[in-house]
Amino acid sequence: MDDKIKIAVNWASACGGCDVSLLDIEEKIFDIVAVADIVYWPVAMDFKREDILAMEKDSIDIGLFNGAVRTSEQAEDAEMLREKCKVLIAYGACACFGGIPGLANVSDRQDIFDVAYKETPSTVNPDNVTPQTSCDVEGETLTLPEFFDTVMALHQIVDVDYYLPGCPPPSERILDAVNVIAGYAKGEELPPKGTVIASGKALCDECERVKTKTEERITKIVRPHETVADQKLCFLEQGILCMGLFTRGGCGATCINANMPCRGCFGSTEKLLDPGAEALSTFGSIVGAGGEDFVTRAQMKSAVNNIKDPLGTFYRFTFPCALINRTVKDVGK
Amino acid sequence: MDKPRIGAWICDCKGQISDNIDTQYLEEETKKLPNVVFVKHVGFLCAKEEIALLTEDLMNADADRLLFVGCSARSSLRFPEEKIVKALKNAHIDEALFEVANVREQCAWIHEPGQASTSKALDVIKMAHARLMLDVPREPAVKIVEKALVVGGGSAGLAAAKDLAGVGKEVTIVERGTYLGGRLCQIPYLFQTENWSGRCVSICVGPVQASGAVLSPLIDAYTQSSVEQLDKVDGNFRARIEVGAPYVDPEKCISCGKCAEVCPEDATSDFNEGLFARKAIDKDFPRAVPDVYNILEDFCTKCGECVNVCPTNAINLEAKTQIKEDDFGAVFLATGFDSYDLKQNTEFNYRSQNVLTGMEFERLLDKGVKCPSNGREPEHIVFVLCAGSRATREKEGKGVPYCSKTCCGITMKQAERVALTMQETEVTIIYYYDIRTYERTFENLYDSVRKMGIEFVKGNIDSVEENEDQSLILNLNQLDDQTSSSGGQYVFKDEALKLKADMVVLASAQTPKKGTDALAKQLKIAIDEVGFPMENQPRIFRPTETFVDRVYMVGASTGPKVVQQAVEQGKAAAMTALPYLIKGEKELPKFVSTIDPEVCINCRICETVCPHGAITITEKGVITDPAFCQGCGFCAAACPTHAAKLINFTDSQILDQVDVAFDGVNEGEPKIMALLCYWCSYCGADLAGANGLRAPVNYRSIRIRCSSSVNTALIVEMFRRGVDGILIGGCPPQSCHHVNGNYLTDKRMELLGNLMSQLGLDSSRLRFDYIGVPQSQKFVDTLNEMNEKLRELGPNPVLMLNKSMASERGQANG
Repeated sequence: MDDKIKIAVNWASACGGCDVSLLDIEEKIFDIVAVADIVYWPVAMDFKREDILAMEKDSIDIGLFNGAVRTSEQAEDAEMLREKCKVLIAYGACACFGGIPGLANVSDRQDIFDVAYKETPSTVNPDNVTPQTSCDVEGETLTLPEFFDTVMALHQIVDVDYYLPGCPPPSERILDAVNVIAGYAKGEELPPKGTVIASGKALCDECERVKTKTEERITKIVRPHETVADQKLCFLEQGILCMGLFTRGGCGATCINANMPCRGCFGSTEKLLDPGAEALSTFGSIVGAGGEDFVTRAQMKSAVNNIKDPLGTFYRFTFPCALINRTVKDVGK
Repeated sequence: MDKPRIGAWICDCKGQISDNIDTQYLEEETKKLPNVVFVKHVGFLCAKEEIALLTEDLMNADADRLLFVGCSARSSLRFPEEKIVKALKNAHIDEALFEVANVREQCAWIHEPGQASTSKALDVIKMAHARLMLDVPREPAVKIVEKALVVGGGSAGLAAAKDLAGVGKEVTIVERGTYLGGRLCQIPYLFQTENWSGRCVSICVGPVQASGAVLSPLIDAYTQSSVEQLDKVDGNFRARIEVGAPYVDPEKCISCGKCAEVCPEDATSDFNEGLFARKAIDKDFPRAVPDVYNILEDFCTKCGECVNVCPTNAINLEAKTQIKEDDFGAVFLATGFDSYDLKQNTEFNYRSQNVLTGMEFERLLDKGVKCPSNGREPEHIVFVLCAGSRATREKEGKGVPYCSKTCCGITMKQAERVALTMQETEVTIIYYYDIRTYERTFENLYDSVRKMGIEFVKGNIDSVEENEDQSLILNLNQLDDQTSSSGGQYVFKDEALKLKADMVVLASAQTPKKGTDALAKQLKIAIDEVGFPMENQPRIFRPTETFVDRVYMVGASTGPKVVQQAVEQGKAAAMTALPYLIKGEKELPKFVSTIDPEVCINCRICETVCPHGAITITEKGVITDPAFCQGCGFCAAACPTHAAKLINFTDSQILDQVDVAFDGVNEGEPKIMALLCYWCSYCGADLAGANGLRAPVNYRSIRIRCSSSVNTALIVEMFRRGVDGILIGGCPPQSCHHVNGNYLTDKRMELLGNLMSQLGLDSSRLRFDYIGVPQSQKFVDTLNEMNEKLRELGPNPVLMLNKSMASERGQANG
C-alpha cells in the first residue's frame, strides 16, 4: 500500500457536478484506485477535516479542489489542501475561474444577504437577522465562516499547480489528469506548473463547423431559444453568438454536438487579456449589416444593442478572473 | 535582437516649446531613460545645417533608432514625418525605428506654461520612449510584377493601357466584347468636352484609340475574353483569363468579309443594341478593332460555309477557349456600365418596339432614325428624362437613387441632332424633376434646343399605350402647378395630358456593370450601397484608387461619365500605378498585420473586418499579404485569439505607454487617456494647441492607427491599471480612412458602455466621439467636460478592487 500515491478531493462553492464527473469516468476510477489512495473526499468518503489537518505538510501527493471560494471556510480548505498536497489541481470551471457562482460578483455580501434574508417574499425575518461570523447564545459563542464580498477562483487564494477546466471537466480530460497522476506514481516527471489540461487553441480549432464559416458579417443576432439551429453550420453564420472563438478547446465540443453554442466553461485561451472584453471587441466588429454611411447612428448601434446581458453572456464562467472581476460602486468621493 | 540604442533630438522650436516648458530639464531626464545613447538639444531643428549635423551625430553615436522630441509628426508643417524619415534614411536607420514625443502642439501649445506642462512633456517623452523600445524594423520590400492588367477595353481602359505602354510597361487588356473601344464606338457623335464642345465622330476616333493599343508591342489585347478569377498572391495579382476560342486566325484574316457573306446565321449585335442583326461570323462594324472577323458562339452552327470560302484559310471551327494564368502588379477595372433594365418599370412599356433607350437611339442616329416597327421616319419623337435615374422619394424602388449625370446632356444632343437633320419630325422632351444640363456644353445645348422651339413638358409618365399601328400614346400626370409645356403647345386638363408619339426615347439610367461585382468581391473592394466601388480616403486626392492597393476603378465602372472623363480617369490611374511598376517593388509600411498560424483558428473574422482586402483564407490558413496591408489594425482588434497583430502597434506597446503616461499627474487629478485616430482626431487635437485652445494638463494622448485599432480588452485593462477616463476619437462619419473603423469603434464602445454599466462603472469614464481635424473645439470641450465629471466621481474604483480582494484574502490567511 505504501507505494500508492495519496489523493484528496475537496468541494467548495460548486454545484457538486465536479464530484459526479469523477464518478462519471466509470470503471476508469479503478485505474486511479490502483495507483492511489483517496485520503479525503467529503462527498463520497468518510474522512474528516481533522484527519487532513493532522497530516504532515506535503504528505498528500495530489489535491483536487473543485468549487470557487466564497467563504472563509473554503479559503481555509484551500490553504489546508495547499499545505498538505504536493500538487494542487483546480478542478472544474469554478475552481479555475470562479464559474457560475462567480457571477455573484455582480452583487456583494450586503446585497445578497438583503435579498436572501430580507426581501424574498417567502422570508419571515422580523428582526432582520443576517448571518454573523460569531454570536453569543446562552453563554456560548457560535461561529460561522465569513461570507466574502467577492467570489474568487482558487488561484486567487493559493498557489495552483494545474488547471482542469470544464463545467464539469469531461471524462477525456479527467483521464489525461489520471494518466499524469499514474505517471507521477511511477516516478515520471510532472508537466510544467500552470499547465491547463486542455487544448492550447480555441475550440473552433477542433470544431467541424468552422469550415462553414465565411467572411460575411453577422447581420442579425439570434438567441439560441429563438431558432432551431442548423446542425452543421457555424453558429456565427446563423447569427448565434458562440464563445468557441475565445474558449480553450479540449471539451470535445460537447455543447456544439448537442447543437448549442459554446458558453465558455473551459475559460479563455492563453493570449487573451479578458474573456468578455475580447468578445465585445470581436462581436462589436462583425455585428451589423454594414452600410453605416447610410443609416442613423441609432440604427447603426441597434445591431449591437441586441446583445443582451454582455456580462452574463461573455463572462458566464470567468467573471472572477476578468480584468474587472466584480461590480464596483462608482459614486464619487 | 541587440539592445536598442536610442538617439534623441530635443528641439526648442526657437522658444515656441522652450518658452513654455523646461526643455533643459527634459534633456537631463531623457538622458536617464534606458538605452538612450545620446541626446542632442537644439534651438531650431528645421534649420537645414542642423539636420545634417544631427544625422551625422546619430551615426557617430551608433544609434539604431530615433526619439524626436518636438513638434507633432502629424501636423507639423515644417518638420513632419516625411522629414524625419528622410533623416533616418541618410543615417542608414530603418524608417520604422523612430517615435515622436509631441511636446509642442499637444503640450507647450495646449497647456499653460509651467511645471505641470513640463511634467506632462516628460510623460510624453517616456511614452514615446516606451513605444520606441519595442519598435522593429520593417520587413523587406515586396517584388511587384511590372505588368498591368486592364479589364475592359473601352475608353478608360485603353487610355490607361496606352499610357502605361507609352513608358515601356507591359499591359494585358481583357475585353468581353468583340472589339476594343467600348461604348464610344456606339455613339456616332460624341461631345468632345464638357467645357467648350465640339463634336467628334466615333467611327474616326474609336478605331484610332483601339488600333493604337493593338499595334503596341507591349499590349496584349484579348477580345471575347474574360477574367474568371483574380487572386492576390505575394503582393501581386494572379489572374485566370479565359481567352475566347481563336476561330479566326488574326495573322491570316484579311478582313475581306467573304465569310459573313455566306454565313446563313443571323446573330444579335451588342454593338447595335440588338436593333440590327449581324452574322454569326462577322465584324460588328467595318472599322472595328481588331480588324479580324469573329464568331459568336451562341449563334454559330459550325456549318462550315465560312471555312469553304475563306481565301486565306484563316478559320478553324475546332478552336477551343484557352485558360491563361498570369501575374500582374496592378489591376485596372474599366468594365463600363449597363443600362438600367427598363422592363422593370412597366409604365414605360419598354417592350413596345418603338420605345427605345438612349443608347438604342444612338444606333438609330448612326443608321437612320426610323421606327423599328415600320421603318418609317417618326413624325413625333418624345424623349423621357430620368428613366430609372433619381428614383428617390415617391420613385423609390423604381430605379437607381442617383442622377446618371450624362442623360440630360445626351438627350439635348439627340434632340438637337433630330431638329438639325429631320425637318418633318417634331421633338418633345418630358422631364420629371428638372433638367440638369450642367457646365458649359450641356447648358449651351439646352439653350440651343430651347431656342429651336422644342417643347419641354414637366410631368410624370403614368403609362405608355401602344396603338394597333404601334404608334404610342403617353399618359402624363401633372406635377406641381405646371399646367402647360414650355412653349404652351401642350396643356394639362384635369391634371392629365395625352401625348401621341411615334417613338419614345427613354434616357435610361446607367448602372454598375454586371459581372464586375464578382471581380470586386474577389479583390475585396469596398462597394457602396448601389454597387459602385468606393474610392480610398481621402478620396478627393485619390481618384480611381480603391481601398485595395493597386486596384484602380476607372471610367463608367465607378459611376456615369462622359467619354472624356473616362479617359482622364484611365490616364490618372496609369500615372498612379506607375511608380510601383517602374520600381518593381513596394516598400512595406511600418505598421503591418501578421497572423500567427499557431494560434489562428481560421474563423476569418480578420478577413471580415479588413477594409483593404489584405487578408485571405488559403490552404495554409488565413494570411495577411503585407503588400496590401494599410496598417489599420482592425484585424488585431477583432481577432478572438490574438493570432493577428499589428507590427509596431502591439498591445504591449500601448500598455507600456499607459504605465508611464501619468507619472507627472498630481495625486487626485483625473488621469485621462485620449486615444486619437491617426488621421483626423489626433490632428484635431494638435490644432487645438495651434489655435490657442486650452485642454486639461492631466490628459495624455496616444496616436492610434485608427479609432478601431485598439482591442476593447485593452481599454478595460487601462481602467484596471488606474486610468480614470478614456476618450476615443475617430474620423467623422463618412470619412474613415479604413471604410468603417469609426463605426466599428462606436459600436464596440456602445457594447463596452453596456458592460460598464453592468459593472457599476460610471459611463462618463468612457467617451467615443467623432472628432475631425477642424473640430479642435469639440476635442477640448469633451476633455474639459470629462475632466470636470471625473473630478466629481473621484478615482477609478477598479483600482480599489485588488486592494479589497487582498484584504479578504488576508483575512482568510489569518
